[in-house]
Amino acid sequence: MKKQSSSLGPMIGAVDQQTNHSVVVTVRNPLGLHLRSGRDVVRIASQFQAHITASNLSRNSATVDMKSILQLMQLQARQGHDLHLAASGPDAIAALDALRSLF
Amino acid sequence: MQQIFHGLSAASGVGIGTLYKYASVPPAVENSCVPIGSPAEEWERFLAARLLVDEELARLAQIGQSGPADIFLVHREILHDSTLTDAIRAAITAGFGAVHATQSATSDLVTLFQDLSDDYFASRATDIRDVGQRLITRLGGITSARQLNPLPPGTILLAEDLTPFDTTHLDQVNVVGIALAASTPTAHTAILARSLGIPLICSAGLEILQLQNRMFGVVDGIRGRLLVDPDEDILEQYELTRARFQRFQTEALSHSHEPALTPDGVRIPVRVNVNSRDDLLYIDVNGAEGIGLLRTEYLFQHRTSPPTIDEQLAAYQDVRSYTKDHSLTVRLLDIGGDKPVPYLPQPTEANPFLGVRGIRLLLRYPELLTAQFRALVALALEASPVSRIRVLIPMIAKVSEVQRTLALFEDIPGYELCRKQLGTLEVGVMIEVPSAALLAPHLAPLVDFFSIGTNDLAQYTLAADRVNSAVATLATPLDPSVLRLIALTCEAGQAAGIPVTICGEVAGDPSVQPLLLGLGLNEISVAGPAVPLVKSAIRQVDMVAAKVLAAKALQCSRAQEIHQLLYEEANTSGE
Repeated sequence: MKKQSSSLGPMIGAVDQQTNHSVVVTVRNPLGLHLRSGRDVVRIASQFQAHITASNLSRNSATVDMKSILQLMQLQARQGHDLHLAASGPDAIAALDALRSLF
Repeated sequence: MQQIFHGLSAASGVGIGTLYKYASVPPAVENSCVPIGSPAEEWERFLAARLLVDEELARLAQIGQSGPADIFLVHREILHDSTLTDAIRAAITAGFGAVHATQSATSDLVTLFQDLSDDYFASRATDIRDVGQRLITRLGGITSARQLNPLPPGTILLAEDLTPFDTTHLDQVNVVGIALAASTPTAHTAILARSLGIPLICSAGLEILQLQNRMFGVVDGIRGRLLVDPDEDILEQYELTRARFQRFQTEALSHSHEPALTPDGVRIPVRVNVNSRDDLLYIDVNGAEGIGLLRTEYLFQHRTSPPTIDEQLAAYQDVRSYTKDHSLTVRLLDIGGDKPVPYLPQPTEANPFLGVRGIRLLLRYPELLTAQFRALVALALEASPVSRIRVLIPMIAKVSEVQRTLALFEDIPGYELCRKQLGTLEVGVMIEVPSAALLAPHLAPLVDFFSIGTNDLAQYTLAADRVNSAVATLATPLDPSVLRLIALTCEAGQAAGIPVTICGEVAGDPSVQPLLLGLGLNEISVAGPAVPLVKSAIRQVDMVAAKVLAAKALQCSRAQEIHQLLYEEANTSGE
């Protein structure tokens, strides 16, 4: 079966396989996910082994790697935008928990 | 024909020379002259260059204040970004040299970002180009920075804007002044120019890029103007100003450890504003009498819970070890929706500068406010009246906010003792909202001092964001409207017998000292590098003449008239 992650769940989304998790967060920073706050996100994401991706639901963006600041900037995330974060790997839950607190 | 272009002063001084226009071009594809090694060798070359750029950025992050330093930290992040590195590695593996690989990877990313629909994210292309330029320079390739070094002696550089890379790579010996069509005095380029001692004006308008190379001109970094083909008598004046400025600078440094006394014997304490640890170093070196404004935001940001009282006390004790026998003014946490912290849930605001910030936020989180104040009372218990701790309440707009804050303080052990008996603790308010200046007579009896924050006062009075270059020229603290508010504050302070201090950028300009003292300011707090010149300027101020000057300025209807008055003042005294 192909996995189907729920992308519009209010907080912690569906758990499809044991290691695939996703969450939807809303950007609260008035400046959006700009360079400086993006840097913090990349820093935190890079501490985890999990493969972590994000897409901007408010812009129908492509899915990007959260461990790259240059990809994160391509989300063009502004205040109020909903981002879908997905992680797979041994520490996926911890990674999403840590990242959620940054939005 | 003399032409004058008005902009904003971003780095003081006068530069006289010939114009040279600089247009940043994409890095030229120039790889044929560099022999290409094996992919492994090229990758090694890239890694070596990246290490050098990383060191360069780390060094640049040390210069200046926290704001611009952040840019270089972000550039380091881009430098090590996996997307960029992977693209370069792929090109090298495909057989391209390191220069070409870096060039094509960065220019692909630049193009991708330029095409983004959101302006903020699209303009990040500049950051990527900047990092790419640094790498290519280190790899020995050709970049547009070659146009900036070497330059002929006596060059006045004209550009729309300069990246920090451009500024650090320009010919620092031969560039005598810079005029930028865009940019703002708070941009990192301005900070770098100030640290290099090169006069710079910005927001001068795109017309300056229509000027011809090799025309003769003057960059007036004191008043924020570019003059082209100046009239002979004007040029003579500028030559005198330039000579005086240079002499002044040398002389100022040699006397910076002496107090600033006007010829009439009025002593004006000159202190420093501290944004980061680097600023602490100026206190001793430049003879500042303590700290006039310690911003405490840095203690609260980039963490998941607020600092404890002990943590805060340790941080303040560390700062106090630099102020020694002088006072230390600490501004209470001044944050708002533009810089949220994770542990203070804040609703989204459309207009954070008019939202819940400063004291408004602190009164919503009284435990945060009292914890910070407890740490400061503990510090005051260790202080003497000379080395007293002065606490500044930010963003006061109403009298009731001061009353509510003081009521919270009254319950804190040691507060009454330090403030009323030992004299080691003072409480003051920031005058940065027009309503606070207008209500100053009602605020004065409640507090021990006023501190006027002219940057915010100007921006709130004129309803103009001073980091938005389209309106930044409106938000000048030398506008008659702002001067009137300053005068009201000083009158209220004097009537109540409390000192009034000023801590905005304008206070760092030596030429405005007669006006500031004439308006009735008692203390000055400036950026560390400005201390010697400000002290020197104060020593020239005749208080009687200064009061006349201030009275004249208060009668002006336009900022330009005030600039003219200051200019005349500077040219009739001192020479």
